[in-house]
Amino acid sequence: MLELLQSISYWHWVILALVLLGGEALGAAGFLLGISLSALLVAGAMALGLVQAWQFQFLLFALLSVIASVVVWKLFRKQNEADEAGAINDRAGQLVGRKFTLQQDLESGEGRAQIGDTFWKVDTDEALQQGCRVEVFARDGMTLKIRKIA
Amino acid sequence: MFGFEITAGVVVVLALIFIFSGVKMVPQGYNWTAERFGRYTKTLKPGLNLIIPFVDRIGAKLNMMEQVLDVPPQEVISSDNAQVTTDAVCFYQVLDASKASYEVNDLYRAMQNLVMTNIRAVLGSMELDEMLSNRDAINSQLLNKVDEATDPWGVKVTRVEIRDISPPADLVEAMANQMKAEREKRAAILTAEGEREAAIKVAEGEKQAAILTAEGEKEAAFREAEARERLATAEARATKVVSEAIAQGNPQALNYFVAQKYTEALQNIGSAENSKVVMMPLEASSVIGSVAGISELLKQTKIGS
Repeated sequence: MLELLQSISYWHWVILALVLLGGEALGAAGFLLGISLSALLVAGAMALGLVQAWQFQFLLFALLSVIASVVVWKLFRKQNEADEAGAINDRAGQLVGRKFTLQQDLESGEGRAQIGDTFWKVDTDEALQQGCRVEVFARDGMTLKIRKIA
Repeated sequence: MFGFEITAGVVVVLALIFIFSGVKMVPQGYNWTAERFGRYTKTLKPGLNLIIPFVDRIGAKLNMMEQVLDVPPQEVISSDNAQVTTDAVCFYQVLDASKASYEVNDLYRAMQNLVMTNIRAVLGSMELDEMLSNRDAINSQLLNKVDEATDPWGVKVTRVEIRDISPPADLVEAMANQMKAEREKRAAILTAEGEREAAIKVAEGEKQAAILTAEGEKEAAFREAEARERLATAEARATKVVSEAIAQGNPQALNYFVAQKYTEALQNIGSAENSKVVMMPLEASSVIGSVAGISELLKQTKIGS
């Protein structure tokens, strides 16, 4: 057993990295990506002669796995915020910037207004009359903040 | 050195567990809630997420897409005591994952019961006829109530639609009969009206014809009278002219004309083709008389000259 561990070469780490990458491709919900990356890094470190003993390889692999996972997450989070998926499933967010005509009078404070054919909770600073053109300028959870436009 | 080797192995296993429980990939259309020691801390959005292993845990996995809620058929009694069976569909979307998972237990069942009771409340206050003809009003009333009631649960109800309102079979039959009777009544009225109108039209035509005939006769009588008047006038004038002429000339000239006309008439009778036998009170002697008159005329002219 120990002999087997001592005979690990950097090629084994490369194989492990590729196998993990394959596993991720088959659908492992993202967590194999960092581990695969760290296996590759361990292989690189061995090829450069930075680590020899298998115990240190293992420790390095464990440490790098955690670090690589965090790095991968940071990388993708930035990309997550940049793409268009943010607006999907967010009805209130989709309405920000929408201009519409009030179907009923509103007192200042919270009220309900019809946009399209559904009612939304709206928040306004001033009392508004029916037929007034308003704009959704922000949202707070499910409440839309509206103001009068000229 | 043996302890160190085991530790190295354990550390690797621990690191793998660490990563496995820390890296979470939330699929699009879902939101997951994260709990720190059982207490809600944040909502994980779709994409790759990282939570602190051992401390954070995934709570609820919520579908943020618009969903269909089937409301099972139920019996509702209308305000005029008709029992109808009705079912509905409700479309809703979870907008706030934390509220939907922690403000309400078993969201689906809660919403189902809410919609059912609201249907009973709205339909129960209506009469059957109103119920059947005011689907739009019912839907919007339901939507308003349900939407407002589900606000605290972070749920937006976008649509509630009554799918079917079915009264009992005997009631449906009665309604069909009523409709049929109404149509028949309308048909009968229309027929009667048509007949009445036709009769009026005929009578009016006859009236018009009678008036026109009478007017024609009146006009004709007027014209005739006028003609007779004119004829009389003409005769009077002719007589006047003749008498004036006689007054100025010899009255014997008159006898000449009478005699001439008389013989002309006799000649006409004689030459008539239909019959040579003429029975008429003819005083031939008077013709002779007139001839004698002519001779007297001649005598006088001789004396005169």
